[in-house]
Amino acid sequence: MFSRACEYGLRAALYLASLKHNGYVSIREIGERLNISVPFLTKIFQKLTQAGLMQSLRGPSGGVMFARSPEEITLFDVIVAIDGPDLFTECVLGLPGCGEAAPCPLHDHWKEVRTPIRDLFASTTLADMARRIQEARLRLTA
Amino acid sequence: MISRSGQQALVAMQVLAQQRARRFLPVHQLSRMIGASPHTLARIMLRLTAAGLTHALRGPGGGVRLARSAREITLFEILQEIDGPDVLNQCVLGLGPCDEARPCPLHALWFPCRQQLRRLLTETTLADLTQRTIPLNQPEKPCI
Repeated sequence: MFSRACEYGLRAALYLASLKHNGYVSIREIGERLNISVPFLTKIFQKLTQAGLMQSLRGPSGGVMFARSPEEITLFDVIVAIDGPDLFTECVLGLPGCGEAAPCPLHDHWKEVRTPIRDLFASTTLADMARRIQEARLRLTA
Repeated sequence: MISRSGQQALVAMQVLAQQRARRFLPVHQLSRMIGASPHTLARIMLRLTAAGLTHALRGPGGGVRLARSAREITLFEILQEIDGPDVLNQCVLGLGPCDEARPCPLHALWFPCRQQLRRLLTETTLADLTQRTIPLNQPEKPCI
């Protein structure tokens, strides 16, 4: 459903949120803990930084950290920062003309499936997920 | 959520389901109708034919047509052939096998959504799709 970059970005954001660390964390450390290539992860963090979700600092004690509280960042924010909004706006059949005025055959049914998915991601914060990860000791690696 | 090839396969099959007397439709004509590249569509139709969902006929008057009634082909069958058998079983975080016993952090949230999507695709047939015409070649506008 998501691009590989988005899967990695979500895992990295969830890892950072569950660390509950207030300073910068090096991308190398995140990559090593999650088995993600560091150059690829760096590009993903660039997108998250451009979207205003993360801030970064170069140098030996640099790294990345959230630009605002994980209580204020939703899964939806992370997904849209990396994959764009298409997943939540595009026609399920990929037809550019599809809409309320000229719906595709699946439009109404798809809306019933897509709206709860969008609401779910938009109402779940990284902090919510961090609590779940810690309470249930959920995994972030294969 | 559905790959571009999967989307094109669904639209192509819906157009085939609307053909009168199940006549063969040349792939290049079908590709023009749905706005897909002939090369990509030919690969898609090869897979669907190998899976027994379409028949193909070479030569003049040839092309592709549905191998069985549109009422007997579900959207899920088509997608499985294009996007693979695990199209709706994959972990949303890409963590390989992911289930109740070994869930990823999003599993509990995502599972009900995935089941709803699976129901939609397994319970909708091509015949259901043909009850409404696909708005091909419409101006761009988001599907909201």
